Amino acid sequence: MKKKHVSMKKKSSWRKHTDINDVEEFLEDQRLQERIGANIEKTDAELFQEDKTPQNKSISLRQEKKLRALEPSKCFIALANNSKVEDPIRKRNRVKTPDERKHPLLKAKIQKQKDEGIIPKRQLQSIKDRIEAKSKMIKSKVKNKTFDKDLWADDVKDPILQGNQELNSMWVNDELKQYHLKNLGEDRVKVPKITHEKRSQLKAIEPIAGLSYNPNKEDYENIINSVVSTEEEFMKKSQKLNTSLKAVYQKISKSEIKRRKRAEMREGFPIANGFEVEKDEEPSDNEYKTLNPPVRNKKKDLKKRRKQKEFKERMARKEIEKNELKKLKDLGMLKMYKKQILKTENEIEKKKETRLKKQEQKKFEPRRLTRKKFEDEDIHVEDSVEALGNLRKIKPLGSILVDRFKSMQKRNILLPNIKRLPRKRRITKVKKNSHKEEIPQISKKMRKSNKIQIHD
Amino acid sequence: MVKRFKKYESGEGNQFMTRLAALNKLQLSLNDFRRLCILKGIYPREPKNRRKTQQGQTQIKILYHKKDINFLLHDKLIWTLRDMKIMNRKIKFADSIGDKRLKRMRIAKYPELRLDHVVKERYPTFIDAIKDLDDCLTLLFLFSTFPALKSVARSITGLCRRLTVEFMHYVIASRSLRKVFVSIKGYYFQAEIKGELVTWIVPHYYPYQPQSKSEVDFRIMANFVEFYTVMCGFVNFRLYHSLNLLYPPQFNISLDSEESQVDENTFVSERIAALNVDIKKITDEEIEEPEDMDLQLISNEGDSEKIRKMHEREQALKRQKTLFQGLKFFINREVPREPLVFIIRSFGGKVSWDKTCFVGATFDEDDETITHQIVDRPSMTKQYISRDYIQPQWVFDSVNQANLLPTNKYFLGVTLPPHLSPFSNSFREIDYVPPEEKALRDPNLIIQHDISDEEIEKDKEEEEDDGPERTEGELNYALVNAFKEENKQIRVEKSAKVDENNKKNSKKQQQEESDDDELVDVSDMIVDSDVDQNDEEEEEETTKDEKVELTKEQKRALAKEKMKVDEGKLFKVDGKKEKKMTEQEAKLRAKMVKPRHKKLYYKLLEKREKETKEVKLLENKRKQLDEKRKKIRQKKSTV
Repeated sequence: MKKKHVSMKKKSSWRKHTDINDVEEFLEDQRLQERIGANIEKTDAELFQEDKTPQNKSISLRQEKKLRALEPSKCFIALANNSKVEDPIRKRNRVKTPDERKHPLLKAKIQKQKDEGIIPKRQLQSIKDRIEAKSKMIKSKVKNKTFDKDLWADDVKDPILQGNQELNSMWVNDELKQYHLKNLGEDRVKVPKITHEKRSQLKAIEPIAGLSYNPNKEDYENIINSVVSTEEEFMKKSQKLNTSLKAVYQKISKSEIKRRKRAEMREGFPIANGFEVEKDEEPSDNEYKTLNPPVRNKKKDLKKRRKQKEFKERMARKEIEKNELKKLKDLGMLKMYKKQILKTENEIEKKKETRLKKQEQKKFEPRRLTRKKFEDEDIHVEDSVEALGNLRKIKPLGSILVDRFKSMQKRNILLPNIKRLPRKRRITKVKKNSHKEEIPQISKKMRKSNKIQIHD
Repeated sequence: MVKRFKKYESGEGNQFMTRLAALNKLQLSLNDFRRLCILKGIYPREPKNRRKTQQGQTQIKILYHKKDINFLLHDKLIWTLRDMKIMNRKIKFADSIGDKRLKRMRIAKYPELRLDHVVKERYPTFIDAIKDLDDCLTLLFLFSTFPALKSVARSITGLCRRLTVEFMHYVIASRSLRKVFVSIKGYYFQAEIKGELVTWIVPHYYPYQPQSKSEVDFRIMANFVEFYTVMCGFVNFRLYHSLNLLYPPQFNISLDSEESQVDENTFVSERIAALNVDIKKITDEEIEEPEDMDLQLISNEGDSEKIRKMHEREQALKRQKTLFQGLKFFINREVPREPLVFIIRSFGGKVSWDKTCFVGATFDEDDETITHQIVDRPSMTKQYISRDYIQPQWVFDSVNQANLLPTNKYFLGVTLPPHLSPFSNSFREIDYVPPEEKALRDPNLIIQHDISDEEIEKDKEEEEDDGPERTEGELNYALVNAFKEENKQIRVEKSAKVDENNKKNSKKQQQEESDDDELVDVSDMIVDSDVDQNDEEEEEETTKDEKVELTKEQKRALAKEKMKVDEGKLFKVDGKKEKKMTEQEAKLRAKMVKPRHKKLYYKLLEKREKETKEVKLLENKRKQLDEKRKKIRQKKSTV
């Protein structure tokens, strides 16, 4: 409840009970106007302006970014003084910029020189230096490698010892040399044979007669036939694969899939297809039964043991007799055995020969070094003879680089691997809210059109 | 207690390590490891027993020998590779903070891989290096055409260009080019350097086409090139010094001018212009090549056939080396100049091209001394009479035949004969050659074609232009030919005589055993091989006799007698006997073979028989085909 009547005897009570809200609001508003610098009394025409600049700016995104980079960064916005209120202290003693500190006379002189086109000495020198440094940079990039010695000269037997006069003398024995070299960090290392071995018996460069720019008819037909046969083989394989996979991946209707799935899920439940399955087994008694009944250790009696022993003895005797008889028989069979031995020896020899042949052939084939098998490059052939026969009209077919790469793989110098490229990650770009307003939205189409404009 | 035996602690199971293990041991990244292996020539191995080496596992892993990895461990290159890794990191940092100066400084300080010792290590002798030059040259020629790429710096392509031009200059100076083959892929060249055959490919000139990354790993190839540049540099150094040439050679045309970095045309033409310049020698003295042994001296000793063959080959080589000597070629605008300039120059010819289009022309088109103009267009408006207008294939084919071929088959606008590969057919001793190819290769036929007037003129010019060496060579060649013919004649006469003798013998001693006959044959064979000795002796004897009693008239009569040509005598060849003789000869030859070589000998014989059979079959087939065609044609003509 509000009091109807209040005493206004004291100053404090006046302060307490008068309503000055509207006055304060007005003043606050006035201060705000002062700070922002707006003037309410302006007309609409003065306050607002017709936007005549085109919405789609003709600058590229890159240029825009550059312009934006010139502006002070967002983080300093809070520090900036936006108030339009003038500094109450007129002559505040603030730090002056170097430009402001300059003497006006000097300033005028510099300006005059600038107008006349005179560049000061220091600036000239700096420009010169910059150009020189740049040219030096280019030169240092193209390093001229020099080859100024004979690597295979007779006198250079031990290149490590060349520079070391003390060790190279005749008074130091070999062991001592080895010891010192080891401690100097220039140990003599035995080069493994693999560096000098030929990796394959294949030649590095094998020109094919049929690939001549103006080939003999026969050679050309040969190479075309070989290409066709490889292609046919490939097609045959792929077809075979297709047919065999067709059986595995059959086409099934959706309803069938559903039915099968349902059947699978229902597997093992007593209710199949909505009917109750009859139970095969009848309810048994409570008696415990195992599949393997326990074995009793039943002892044999003496008679059985004796008989067993006798049987064993008899068998042993029989075996001996048999062997003796065989020996006699074998004497008669000697000729046949000789033949047999000869036969087996022959077979072994043949096997050896084939093995050697295989080994010899293996020298011309790529070895199995990795999981991936070597695949030879397809031969690139001009498919019509009319395109051939003119040096001027030859078209590039295949590339020598690929040819070299494959040849090196074939000769076991390189592994038949393909470089695995890193997977490209999908990057989603999101703009921060604070940055959203500043960047004018330019559609992709517009960007393209802008680019074209700039290039023109 | 006895130590317990554990599996895979010794032997095959303990000799190898997987690539991952090797990486861990060397503390290198995969890329660095690959690079190191390529540089040092270490390759993975295929074990005899995969399961044992992989300690029971059967899937195929990349295996290295432990000793190989230990060998890599000892090289200083590993440390530079690690330094590089660190420097890369530092450069990246400088880049990230935007300090360009720091970045520049660090790039300048980037560690360099020193590969000199590696080259020496991998190729202990100079010949080893030359044997492995095929791959090196092809890659360098290929990379010299590349623009600057991400994994191939501009400096590397520049270096490749320099080295290849240097190498070509060596080939030109030493005249060691032997074969050329133009294929769709590129130009195949073969040179004989220090007795080794070196083959390489130069790509056709096309603009660069980027490669798909799935096909070729560019970085790996760049690593190879990195090694090969160093190797080629040192090989070039030694080759140049062997010819007493200054290394590095100096050309008055710069190979890497700033203009060439902008314009591709000048870039290419500079390279070609550099080929057309003679290079400086260290001193004017020429290193004399070891002279050939005198044929006449050697032929008196046994084994003359072989040596004669060798000598013939030598003569042919000499002729091939000076094939284009004294000829002047002008290359038209549309013809690929680089290979042609290289070929013509390396056989002693002079070349020039259109002065207005490209740099480095030495003479103009209207020079009257030009003998050949190489043209690759159907017709030309302005033609000179003094020169032949030929298509470029003439140059390639005549180099391969080691002879100047008749130009009429290669004239302007004429459909060319097929360009055959000189590299094929080298494996078989006897091979079927189709009649068309025979016609191409037969020197006699070429001479028949050669009779046109221009040809003769040209030959004269050649002779005039040639130095004394050439004429000497030719004389030698002629001498050898005459000598051969004489021998043939003598042999025929001898055989006739022997036949007659045999007949007489048979008449006199009809009931003699055939063993004696064999003996006679054998003696005859021996006589045959020593024919040269005997007949010289005989000649000497006759001359001595004449000297004793000579009057003028007698002399004249003798001279006349000498001039007189004896009529050839016909004699019947006994087919059966000859066959028998040849068989006996073969048996004897087989007996002469050492027992340890016997298997090989029979193998060779078998192979030869097989080849001859095949050739005969093919020839018969061809004959039949030709006849069929003839019949068909006749039928057509009658209809």
